[in-house]
Amino acid sequence: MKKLLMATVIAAMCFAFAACADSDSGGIEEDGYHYDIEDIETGTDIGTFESTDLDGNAVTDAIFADKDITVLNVWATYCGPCKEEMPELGEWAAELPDNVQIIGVLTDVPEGDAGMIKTAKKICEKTGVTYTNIVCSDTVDKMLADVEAVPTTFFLDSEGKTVCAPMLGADVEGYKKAVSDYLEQLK
Amino acid sequence: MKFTRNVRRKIIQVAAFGFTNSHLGNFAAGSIYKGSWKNFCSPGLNCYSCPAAGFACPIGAMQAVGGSPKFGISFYAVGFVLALGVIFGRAVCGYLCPFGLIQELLHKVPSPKKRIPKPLTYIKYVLLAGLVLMFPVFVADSFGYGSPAFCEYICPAGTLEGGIPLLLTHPELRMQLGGLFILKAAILVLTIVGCIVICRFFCKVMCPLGAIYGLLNKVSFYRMHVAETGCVSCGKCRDACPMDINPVARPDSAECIRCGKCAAACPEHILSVGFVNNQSKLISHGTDNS
Amino acid sequence: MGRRTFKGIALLAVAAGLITAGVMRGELIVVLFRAVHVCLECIGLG
Repeated sequence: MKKLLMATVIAAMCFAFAACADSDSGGIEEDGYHYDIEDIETGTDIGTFESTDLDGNAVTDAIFADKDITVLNVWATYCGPCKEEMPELGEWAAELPDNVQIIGVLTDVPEGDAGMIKTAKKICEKTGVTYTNIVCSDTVDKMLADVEAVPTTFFLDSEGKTVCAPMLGADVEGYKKAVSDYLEQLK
Repeated sequence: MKFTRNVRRKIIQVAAFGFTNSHLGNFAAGSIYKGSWKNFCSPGLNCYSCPAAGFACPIGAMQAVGGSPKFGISFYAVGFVLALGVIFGRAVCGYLCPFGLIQELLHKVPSPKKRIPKPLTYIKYVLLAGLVLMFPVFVADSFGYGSPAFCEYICPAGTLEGGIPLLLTHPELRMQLGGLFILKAAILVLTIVGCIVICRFFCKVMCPLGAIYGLLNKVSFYRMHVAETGCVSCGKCRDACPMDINPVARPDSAECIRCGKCAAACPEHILSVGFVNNQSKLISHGTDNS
Repeated sequence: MGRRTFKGIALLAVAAGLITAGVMRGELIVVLFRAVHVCLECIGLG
């Protein structure tokens, strides 16, 4: 009995020490952009970023400005469900009205990594995806600091603010509904 | 209270658990640590999707790199596990693995206690060779990416430490659940029940990491030492052993986690555990029978 | 005992070589990327 008590006390001390010693979740906290995905309510600013797309063209958060709603699909080359939903996303992109766009963001393709860029481009070609895909840069990593899993999809207005909660997991029907609900609201 | 080997071992286990899973604050929001310590593997089995995890899982790393079209096998993860195994052998399981601690705590739940038949312990080698090493390489999608089959279909540590916390904190995830999750949840329940009834059930039957460390028990620097004479064949070491080994006959068994319960049970003090053989110390404290 | 230690040291050298080779061919970043953005299917969450 005494042994168990001693062990529990030591365990509690170890956990308390560990919890105090670690005050951050490893996410990035700067300029107030640290947020937890649960706290993302309508109107959260996704932040500014600078990066390139798969063809090397410069891309910044200004890309949100000309559309009423942007579907920002965060994916990775190793993620099966991400690649499986891309043909559907590619088809949907072709039918979109002029005030909606889909943009992809890759979490495992660093800027300048020719090998990974080639792999990502091959995936886009094979799945029929022609919309812009952004690669990782420092500012993109910051923007994605609270994306825990892929695929995650954000829905942003022309100022880069979320219009509803982000969706985790592949669900193109769900994305379509979120977009049409928002467009209804705008009318 | 005496600081017996077993008490010291528990303290090390708890400290290792805390060290491996230090980001406890992440549980509240269900967020995952994203810093550069996740370049490195933890010694024991600990899922990188656990919100508190500060390192990557070595088995996860093997499958991630092995399943990547550029590679095929992870030199880094294999080298890491090989190095730890040569130094510690399966003492990693006995002292440093968080899931090992969880299993030992589960075994304290009152229930009938059983031992398992030896042939079942070979299942973990099949899982290692098949799901961890070969599947990600040979079963790939059209882009050359293979799935991490052990993580995806089996690992109960991942379901418990990562899957469940993420599901509890991310309601939008629950709509995505399908047959795969039902399979993994069933395996988790089976593992939990197994661990309650059988000491370290997962270690004995399913753990691919333990399989590797166990194979290195034959060369590990941290090991069992058995005196050449003095054994009276009383069988107390075998009865004390939680891993169903006969320590006197097979001190380098691939199942031995170096917990030292056999050495503590031996009335003749001919067994010891450690880097150095300290039997002489034991004998000088006990009765000299020679 | 000497033979065992020798085998162990030889294996340690192999391990060191493997780790170096792995790091040099860029395996670490693959491990890191997988570990910080979890692929949901890979942990059994569809």
